[in-house]
Amino acid sequence: MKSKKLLIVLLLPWLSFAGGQEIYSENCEKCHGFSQQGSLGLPLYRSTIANHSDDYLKKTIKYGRPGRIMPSFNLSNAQMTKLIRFLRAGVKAPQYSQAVIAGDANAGKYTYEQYCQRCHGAQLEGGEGTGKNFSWQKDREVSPPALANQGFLHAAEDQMIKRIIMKGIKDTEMMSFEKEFNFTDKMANDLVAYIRSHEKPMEQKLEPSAAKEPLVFVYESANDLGTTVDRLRDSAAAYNFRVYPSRTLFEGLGGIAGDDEKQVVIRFCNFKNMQKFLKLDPRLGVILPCRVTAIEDESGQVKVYLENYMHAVERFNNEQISIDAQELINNMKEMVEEAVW
Amino acid sequence: MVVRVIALCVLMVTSSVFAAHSELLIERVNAKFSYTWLALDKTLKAHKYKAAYLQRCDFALNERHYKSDKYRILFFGKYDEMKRMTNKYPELAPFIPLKITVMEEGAHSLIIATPPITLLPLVKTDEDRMTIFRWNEDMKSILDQVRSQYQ
Repeated sequence: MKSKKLLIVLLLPWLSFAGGQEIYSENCEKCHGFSQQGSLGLPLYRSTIANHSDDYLKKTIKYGRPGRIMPSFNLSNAQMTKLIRFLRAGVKAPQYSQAVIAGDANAGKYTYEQYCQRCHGAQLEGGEGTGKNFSWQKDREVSPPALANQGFLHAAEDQMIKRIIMKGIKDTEMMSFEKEFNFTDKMANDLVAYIRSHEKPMEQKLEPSAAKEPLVFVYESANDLGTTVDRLRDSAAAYNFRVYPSRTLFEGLGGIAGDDEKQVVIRFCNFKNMQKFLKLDPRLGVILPCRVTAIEDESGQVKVYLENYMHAVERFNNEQISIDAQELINNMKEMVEEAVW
Repeated sequence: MVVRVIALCVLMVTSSVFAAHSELLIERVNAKFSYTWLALDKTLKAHKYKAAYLQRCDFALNERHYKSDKYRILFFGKYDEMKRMTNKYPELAPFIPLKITVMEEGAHSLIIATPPITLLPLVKTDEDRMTIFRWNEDMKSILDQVRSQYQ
């Protein structure tokens, strides 16, 4: 009898994680890493998770971080519970009251500008780029969270924010401001009130703004295929793109047909832009390199096909990329318009 | 015909669930870049695809504060099928051949692709929709098989 009880006690932690690991592997490990060490997503160290209530983690999973890479996940309550249990690995969940902290937001703004802005940004927009990426060296171990992000504000309890300000987070750059800068209770309350003042009603998930735009822009060229290709190459160079040798559309795929020569891909890249985008999100390579395709049809008419990259860009849930990409796409459209005119 | 319609319905349901949830197809591979690259090449061949060319995007990355310069894009496809589709729908041309991005992440690699299912609005017949669905399923299967080779 005793040995049975002992066996149950020994197996209990394993039984409670069962399922959670699979849910993690399926949904989280791609961005947060095999052992929660962080990558595209932030590290999910036990010492970090120890600061977060179950409610905060569930809301984070449910809402994600709009515009900050972390998507929302449609997991059931039971799945989320299992996942959180797995992430905690036996560490007890903290309990925070839902009570709103009263403070002076104006005084909090001053404190924020003095102590927090350097990492979290003037508009509480957080650091650039992905959570913690091994592909490039950054000046910080992780990208500082965006405190004005509505996903964060709807998930975080005031008491949790206050605790993190005062005590810091172990194993991260978030220090204890109580210890390092002698923060008082009032200073922390004012700061929480200031952060909370950025909260807005959670918007319903809107249709992506690119949804009404075409997937592909099509242009009719006034010139023959050879001239169109030459003009596209010249135009790309004039727009500060480095132009690669052109290829036929199916080159390398092994087929042989005379009309393949009438489908030409013009590839180009602005390295400065590329590196800027890769730094914001290294997954952006899936839409590289920039290209247009010129096709001559049976009647001799040449058309140029340009992907509307905004559709692809919206998949990254990255506000900064969406803003920067619009400018790039406008440039590419102008570039093609000049070439086919 | 009935089987085809049922298959199409099943694919549409499963794919719409997927599309609503995960916009990019990503897998983390427990292997360095060179091993992942080899596994990808092998898996593509097993799925009867041909690698068309590779695009290196690692130009000067390691001179610009990147820790790794292992960043490449592999273009691949099936000649006959892709030629038939682009002849019928030239708007597909910007997305042909299909591509998978491979990047190194420390001791791991990430393999990433945009789901071909997003091309669905560009085609008009059930047969062509089936082709797009199959590309989508193939892409998912390729990524999954590369990942599973280094579990």
